[in-house]
Formats: sequence, structure tokens, C-alpha cells
Amino acid sequence: MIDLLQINPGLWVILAGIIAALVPVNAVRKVLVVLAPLVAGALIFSIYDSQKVLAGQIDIYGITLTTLRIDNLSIVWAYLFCLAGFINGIYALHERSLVTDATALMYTGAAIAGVLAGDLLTLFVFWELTAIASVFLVWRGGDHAYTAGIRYLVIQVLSGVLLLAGAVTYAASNGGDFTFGYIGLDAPGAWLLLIAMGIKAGFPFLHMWMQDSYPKASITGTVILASFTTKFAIYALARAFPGTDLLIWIGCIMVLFPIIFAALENDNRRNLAYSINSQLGFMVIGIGIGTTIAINGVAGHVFANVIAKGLLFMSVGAVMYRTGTAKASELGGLFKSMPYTSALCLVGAGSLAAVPLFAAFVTKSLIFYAAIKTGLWVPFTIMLFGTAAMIGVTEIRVPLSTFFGQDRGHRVKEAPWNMLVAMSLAAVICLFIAWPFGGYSLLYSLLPNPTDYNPYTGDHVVFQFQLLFGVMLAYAFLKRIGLIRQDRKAEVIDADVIYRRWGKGFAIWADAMWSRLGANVLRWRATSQASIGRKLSQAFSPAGSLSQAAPSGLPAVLTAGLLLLFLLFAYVAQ
Amino acid sequence: MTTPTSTDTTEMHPAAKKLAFLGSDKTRRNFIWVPLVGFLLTSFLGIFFPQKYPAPWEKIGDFAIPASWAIFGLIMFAAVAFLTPFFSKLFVKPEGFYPGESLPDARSDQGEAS
Repeated sequence: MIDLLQINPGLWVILAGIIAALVPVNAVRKVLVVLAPLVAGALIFSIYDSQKVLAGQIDIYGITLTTLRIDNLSIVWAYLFCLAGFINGIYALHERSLVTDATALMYTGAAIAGVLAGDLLTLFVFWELTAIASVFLVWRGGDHAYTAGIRYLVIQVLSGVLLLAGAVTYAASNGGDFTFGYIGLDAPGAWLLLIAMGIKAGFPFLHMWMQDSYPKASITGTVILASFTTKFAIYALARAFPGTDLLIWIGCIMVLFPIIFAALENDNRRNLAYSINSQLGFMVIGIGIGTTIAINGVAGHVFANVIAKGLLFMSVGAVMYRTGTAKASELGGLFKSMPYTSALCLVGAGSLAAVPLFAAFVTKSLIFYAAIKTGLWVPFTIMLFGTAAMIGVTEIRVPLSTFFGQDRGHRVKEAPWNMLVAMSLAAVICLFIAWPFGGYSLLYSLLPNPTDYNPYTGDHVVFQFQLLFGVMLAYAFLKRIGLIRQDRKAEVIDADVIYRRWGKGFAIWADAMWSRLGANVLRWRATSQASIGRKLSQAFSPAGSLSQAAPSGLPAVLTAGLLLLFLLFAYVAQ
Repeated sequence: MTTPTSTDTTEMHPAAKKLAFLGSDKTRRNFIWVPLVGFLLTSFLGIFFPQKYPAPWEKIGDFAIPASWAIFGLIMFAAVAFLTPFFSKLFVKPEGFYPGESLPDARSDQGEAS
């Protein structure tokens, strides 16, 4: 008799996805999409009783796999992914697409199963499944998303291959033990694992897949994509590399570099993708610091970020659903048509900006506090700069340009009811987890380590408002005097220009050169052969020079000379 | 597509009509007072609620600057805004730079997406 509670709950969601792929009835699929993550969450709740759970052990060729591990770290991500899957399911109710429903479930299930994996091989399986399932969400974006989807798939699969190589190398040096726990950079195979995780987590120069694919996916696809892949990688990093100093500095670069790209970007969905990258930087810094409060900050900020960023993606998606675009240069004044979406977008923006009473206020400050406590003033200052800059370039700019900027004359309907319900749920969570009277303490009780940190101190509230008003004042003043760059249609190039433009150009040039060179070589060979043949023919043919009447002594001398040469060669050879 | 005037309330969502002032030029022009008052007020409150753990750059000797984050936010965002045109020359290309991969424009019919 199989104990159902021994089975990784993510597998049930994947199974629901497989069933959804076979069911042509939209209503049945929608029930699966909404309920499956809830059922998985309920199962996790019933399995986990605040003690570490190891279950679902399988022996394959002498390797013991632990397919289910629920502990104080994985539980945060598992609940979060179930919640995000549920909200995303509601958001996607209007979309009649078998592909979206099935792959969204498989992707969500793979992410849940992945964070609950107890060993590196199980992790690898779900790591790859997230890649394969999610690429269909990119392709659902339309023809313009096809090549982006291919690039996305190649990069994600490469990440999986590196993960597997790292896992095998690590296990080989560890007596064949694939247990997924702390690894550290000194372990064999660790760098492969770090790069694999870094690809999915958006490390600098490995991040471009995010800004390439997210804006091109379908409206619901982008919302779903933004919830899982990168946060799954953050979980893996938090599990394998806590306290790795290098991550602090990688995180600092991640916080900084998206700022300028987000400031230049015209497409709101791509702007938000850069914002994700910057927020991931905070999490990576937290993992690098590695103290208990820092890891709490990472887990808490992942929670706040998935919900708040999801809310922003949902509101931008709702606008796109009604107007057909997410380009800031074509939007403006939409609060007149979509007032509820506008208000909900502001809640998402406030939550990401860490405004008191909004989500990230109680989570980001944990990472700041960890940096302060360890005397890491440079990373602290970089994080503060990142917060200030992203408030201006994303959290003020996206709602402002879309809903309150110059009226572009769009008179559209408010978002569909299901989108409003999903956004409202996310907004309520954003406000609830930051609520000073019981809200944040509930979130903190879910975090990996016990904490008595209180975010609602007078100085924290005042100084956080100072930062917000400082940025707002600069924004309003510079806008008034015309120094804020106007949104305009443009393509912002990132490091992926290396392979999307230069690499492609080089490949086309090399192909043309090869073809031209090949043609020249063929022509030269043909000319040479013809020339030699002609010369031989001129000499030896019946009409050739050697066949013509010549002094009788000459052939004899030539023959004797050739014979002498032959004998000399034969002698030397001996 | 015609661009309505900022005070035009026809075709507005009923829930948005009471907030129509948000779209007026006057509101936009005077909005700067909100962050200015907020900036001054929170800077003042910083005297009464000093930073518990000020960074080295937030102090002059042993004195923690009461408006340090307000000034920091103001200067840092201004720096980003001033740097943006420079980076724009480096990184911004015309739309269609990657052929066949441009993101969709607004629909003229304002219908629903498929």
C-alpha cells in the first residue's frame, strides 16, 4: 500500500497538468488549475508538523533518492509556490487555452516538487521540467516569441546540464551521496552548481533570458513565469551556498546594473523584468551574508517579491489585455478607464518600494539589518541606492506612465473580473503580511529561523518614508523641468546583443566567407587540374611535342637521365 | 484616435469620475508639493527618531544626520536621471533592431486580446 503522504505534493500538481492536457473541456481544466495548487498546499500542511520530514525514498542503481524533504527552509517556498499557483490560476481563468492550463500546472508542480526535493538528482529532474514546461508559456506569446522561446529553452536546459554535471562531480567526491544540503564553493563540482543556479537566478551576464522572454510571453504566461524560475534558483542557492562571500558582491552587481536598463526601457513588462533582477540581487546578498537573520530576509523577501511583483505584472497584463500593448510610450491616463487596476497596481508598487504598511517594508529590512549587523556598509549602501533608484525607475514610473501620465485616449473596459479577483488577492496579501498588528509576525513565524526583529520602529518608518519622499521629490522636480527622459519607442540592447546580433552577424559572415572560399578553392582546383592536363596533353598526346620528330638522341638521353634518377633514389632509400 | 482633454469625464469608469482631478494639468503641476512637504516633514521627524544604526556616511563626527535617507534618495535618483541620457546613447537602438521580435503596439480597435 502506497502512503500518499510519502509522495512529493508537487507531483500531484504535475499530474493535474497531465490530466489537463488530455481534457478538452475548459471548465474542468480551470477547476484543476485553481484547485491543484491548493490541494498541494493542504497536503504540505498535513505532512509538515514543524519537524524536518524526509520521505519518498527510492533506490535506483544503488543510489538512494529522497524525493520529499520538508524543513524550515523549503516550507516557505513550497507554501509560496502553492499560493502563487492558486492566484495565477484565477488570473488565467479567462484564457481558453489547453496549452497554457496544462503547462502552467506542470510548471507550478515542478517548482513545488523541486523545492521539496531532498537530493540533487531529484532537484535536477524538476529543474529541467520547469524549463521544458515553461517554454510553452513563452511560445504562447505569438510568432514574435518563437526565437526568444528557443533561446530561453537552450539557456534553461544548459543550466540543467551544468546542474547535473555539478551534482555528479559533487556526489562522486562525496561517496556517491546526492543529498542536497550545504555545498560551499570548495566542494568539487560546486562551481558548476553555482553557475547552473546563477543562470536561473539571473546573475550578471547570465540574466538576459529573463528580459528576452518575459515580455514576449503571453499575458498570463509572463505572470506565471515571473513567479517560479528565479525564486526556485534562489532557494537552491540559499540551500547550497549560504554565507558564501562571493555572492554578496555578485548580488551587489545584480542590484545595480538593472537600474539603468530599467530607466531606459519603454516596455513595462521588460522594465519589471529588470526590477526582478534587481530584487534578486537583494536576495543573493542576503544568501551571501548567510546569517540567520539574512536567510530570514531572503525567504521573506522572496515571499513579498513573488506576490508584489506578480501583482505588478498582473496589472500591466490587464492593461495589455485591454489595449494590446505594455509600451509606456503608448499608454497613459488609464486610471479613467481602469480605476481598480490602477489602485491595485499602486499597492504592488508600494509593496516593492518598501513603503511602511506594504509588503517589502517588513522583508527587505531584514536583509538591510543583517548587513548592518555584520558591518557590511558597502553592500548596505548599494542596497539603499538600489532601493532608491528602483523606486524612481520602476515603482513610480510604471504606474505613473500607464495610469496617470498623459492621456493617450484609450477608453477601454476595466480588467476582467477574474483578473481583478487575482490582483485583489495579491494586494490583500501584500498589505496583510506587512500589517503591524499580527500580520508581519505571522509571516515571520513561517521564516526559517526564529526572530524577534521588529520592523515598525520609529526610526525605520521615518527613514523609509524619507527615502520615498526624497526620490519622489527628485522625480517630480526633474520631470517638471524636463530632465526626466521621455518614454519613446526603442529597443534597449543588453549583453544578449553578443549572440542575438553580433554572434548572428558573425555566423552569417562566416557562412558567406566559407561559401565564397569554397567556391574559390573549387575554381582554383578546377583551373589547376585543367592546366596540368593541358600541359601533359601538349607533351604526351599523339600530337604532343614529345611525339613529334625530334633529334633521336634526345629521347635516349631523357630516358637514361630518368633511369639514373630512379636508381639514385632506390640506392638512397636502401 | 483622438486624445481627450484632461478634464473630459465622458466615457470614464464610474468609479474614476470622482478622481478625475488626478488627470488635470493643475494636479500634475502642483503634485510636487506632496513630496516636498513629505520630504520636509520626515526630515524634521528624523530629529526625534534618529537612526539606531547609522552608516558611516550618515554621520558627521558622532552626529547622525536626521535627513540622511531623504537627501540620499534625492541625490541618488537625480544621479540616475542625469546618467540616463549618456547610457541611452550606448544602449538604445531603434525599434526593430532585432527583426521580427518587436513587442506589440496598442490595438486601434481597443478590443480584447485573444
